Amino acid sequence: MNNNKQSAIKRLLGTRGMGAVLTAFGGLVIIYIAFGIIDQNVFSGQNVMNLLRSMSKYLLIGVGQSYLLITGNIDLSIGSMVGMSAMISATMMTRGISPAVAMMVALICCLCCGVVNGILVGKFKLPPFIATLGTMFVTRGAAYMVNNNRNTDAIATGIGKEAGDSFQNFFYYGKTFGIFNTFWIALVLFLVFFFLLSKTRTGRHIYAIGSNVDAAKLSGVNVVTTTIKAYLVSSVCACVVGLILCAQAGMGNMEAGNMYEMYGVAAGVIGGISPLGGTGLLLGTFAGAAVWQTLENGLNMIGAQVGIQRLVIGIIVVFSVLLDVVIRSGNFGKKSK
Amino acid sequence: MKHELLRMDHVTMIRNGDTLLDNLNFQMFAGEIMGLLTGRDKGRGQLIDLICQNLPISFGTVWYDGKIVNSYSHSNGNTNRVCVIEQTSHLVQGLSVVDNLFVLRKGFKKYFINERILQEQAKAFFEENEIHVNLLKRVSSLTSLERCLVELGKGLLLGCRLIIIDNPGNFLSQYELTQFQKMLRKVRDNQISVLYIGNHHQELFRIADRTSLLYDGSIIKIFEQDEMNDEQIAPYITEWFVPGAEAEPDNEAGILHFHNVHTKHLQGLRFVLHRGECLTILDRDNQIAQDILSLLTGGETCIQGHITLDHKPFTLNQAANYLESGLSIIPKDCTESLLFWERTYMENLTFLLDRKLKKSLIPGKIYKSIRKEYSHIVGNIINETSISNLSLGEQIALVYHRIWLFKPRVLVCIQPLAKGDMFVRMKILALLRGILKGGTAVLIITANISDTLDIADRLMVVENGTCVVTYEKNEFDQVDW
Repeated sequence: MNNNKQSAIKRLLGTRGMGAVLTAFGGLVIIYIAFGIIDQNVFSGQNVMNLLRSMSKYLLIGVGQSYLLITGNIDLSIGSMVGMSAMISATMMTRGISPAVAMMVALICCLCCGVVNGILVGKFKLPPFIATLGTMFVTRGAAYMVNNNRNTDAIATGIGKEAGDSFQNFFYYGKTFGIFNTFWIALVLFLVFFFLLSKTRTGRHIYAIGSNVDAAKLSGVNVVTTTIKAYLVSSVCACVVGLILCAQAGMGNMEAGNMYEMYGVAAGVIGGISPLGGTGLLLGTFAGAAVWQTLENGLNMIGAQVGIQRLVIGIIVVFSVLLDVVIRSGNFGKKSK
Repeated sequence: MKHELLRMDHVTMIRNGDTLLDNLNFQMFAGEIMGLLTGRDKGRGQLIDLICQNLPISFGTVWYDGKIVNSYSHSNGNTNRVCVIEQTSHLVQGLSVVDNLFVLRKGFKKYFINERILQEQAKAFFEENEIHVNLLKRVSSLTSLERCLVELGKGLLLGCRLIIIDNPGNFLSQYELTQFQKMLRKVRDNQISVLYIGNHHQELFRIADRTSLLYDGSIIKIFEQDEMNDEQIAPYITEWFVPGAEAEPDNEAGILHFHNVHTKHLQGLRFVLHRGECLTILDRDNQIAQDILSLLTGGETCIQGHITLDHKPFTLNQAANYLESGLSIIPKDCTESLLFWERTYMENLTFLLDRKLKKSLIPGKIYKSIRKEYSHIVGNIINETSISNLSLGEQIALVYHRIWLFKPRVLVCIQPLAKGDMFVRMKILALLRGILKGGTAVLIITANISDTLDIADRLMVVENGTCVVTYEKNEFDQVDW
């Protein structure tokens, strides 16, 4: 029995990518304690709550982007989709349409973009960088056009204060069991997508096409469908983050989600998701998003300038990718020729 | 008196604590074809590199053309004039043959290139050596045989006195191999030496003047001309013999039928494959494997004729989902094209399990039971998290274990014995026997029959896309090698 348990733990620790996850979590603890020593407020309950809420956006975007990184692809349009989702839902609500319908429409629009991305990359074999660069501009353009090139008014002006507050509380300001709803939403979606990736056939196929696309084809994996599924996951995440941003501001902002595609990549790679595809655990993305947000939060609290914040985060991202490349090539401790 | 071209005296090469060449004694004379039979792959690549590049060695001395070129005490690292012809081309694909011969070589100093003069020189040289290749062709459009001939020609042009041929049976068809061997004999007659490396002793015995058996980095036996036969080598391979399985072919109906199938390279191919039967197709032109693969995986359809699986037409839709139809394929380079390098051993092993069970979610107890069952078969490597740590034999075995677990009704293998040493080949044959025993029909398409006859029940020889002769198991002794 004891032996069984031991071997299960050994197997868990031996899981590919678990090392990177543990490293990221270790880094998170060190960063958090370091900032806490500098400023005691970092440890306060209120700050922890805020931290969890803020990291939820990065976690969701990170999950979407991680799915694509594992398949060996990328989605540059995910940030613009966030903006489109926020603008579509906000515009409809300012025109008196119920939040549920507005959310559904935003979701359908994002899913359509996901399908288009998937078809362009999976079926027509366009380089994902180029294909999603195109859809990035298209979706950002759509975000601008939804409300005639201007931000929306407050959503409460259309659906009324009560419905507006409910929407905002549900996505951003409300709490359940003392923790902001934003975190619960992100956690539920994270668990769903975690299960999908680690326990289902679709998850295995996603890893398979990132690892060896030819082997996947010969093993009967439908590469086009699997690629579309991965882009659909990323579009669902983008849509939910758009709704969160809309709820946070109480209005639609055309520039919402700007640069989020890169935050998603950063959360993934910090957590050990390989940008070369085929490896990485979604648990790492959780750690990556937490590291990112803790850094931002901590640097803010100790009064570091925005420039310094970006610089530190940039170095950490490069370091993470470098670590992945070195581990893959097995060059640890070896002199290059 | 024979001129000694290459001599290796007690050569030992150790890398990262692993002894790759172990007290190796090896000698080659000018104007002979020496076969090198690799019992285990260990040391094969290092031996080639050592002969070409004089890599540092731990013990021993190497003489080339009468001079010490490498020893344990000193290695100048100079390269010997040796030409290696292997599966990977050493020519630049986008350039013409002439450019490859003259422009891309050390010592070519001309800045302005007069193509006409180069062509005339190349033509004269090739005619002198009786090499017949269109010199104006781009290398990318050459056949495998032409590519080998050009590389051979380039080697001779550079003054190489030793030609190393590494497993040509893997990339040349039976016909091409025969032509190439004829060329090698001509080269030998001009006092050039040939080191012919292979893992099929039958192939080596046909061409070599002597054959050395390389095993675990040592030469354990040299077969002289009169010793190159099955009886003499038997003691060295009996330990690898795996008893045959009792397949139970259904001699009545058959599972897979090719009815007068025409494609670009198939010209009316017809055969029937029975349950538990192994049919080997010897493709003399090395052309039909891709066509058969495309037909079975939905890549193309028959121009004429049709295929039936279980007496029902094998539709394009079925072909596109061939795994669901109970068909499995192991391509030539099976480790590269079927393994997922970032996934664990268990994940690779159970990759087709969802299709077999027709479930997206597979209960943990099934994985547990598979882990338990296969840990008895494969040992501790079942827990391996990085399959790149496995040996080539273990990686190939993993592919076959995956198929074994999937239990397809028909398995198509393309050149299953092309890769690996003699041990790996025996392992593959044992695994195929197990698969056959489970009732799977196995179709082997190969350009080199050497060992596949050990498990084959029938042999079909295909030339120009059509079957020219069929042998039953009891007629295999009549097969013309």
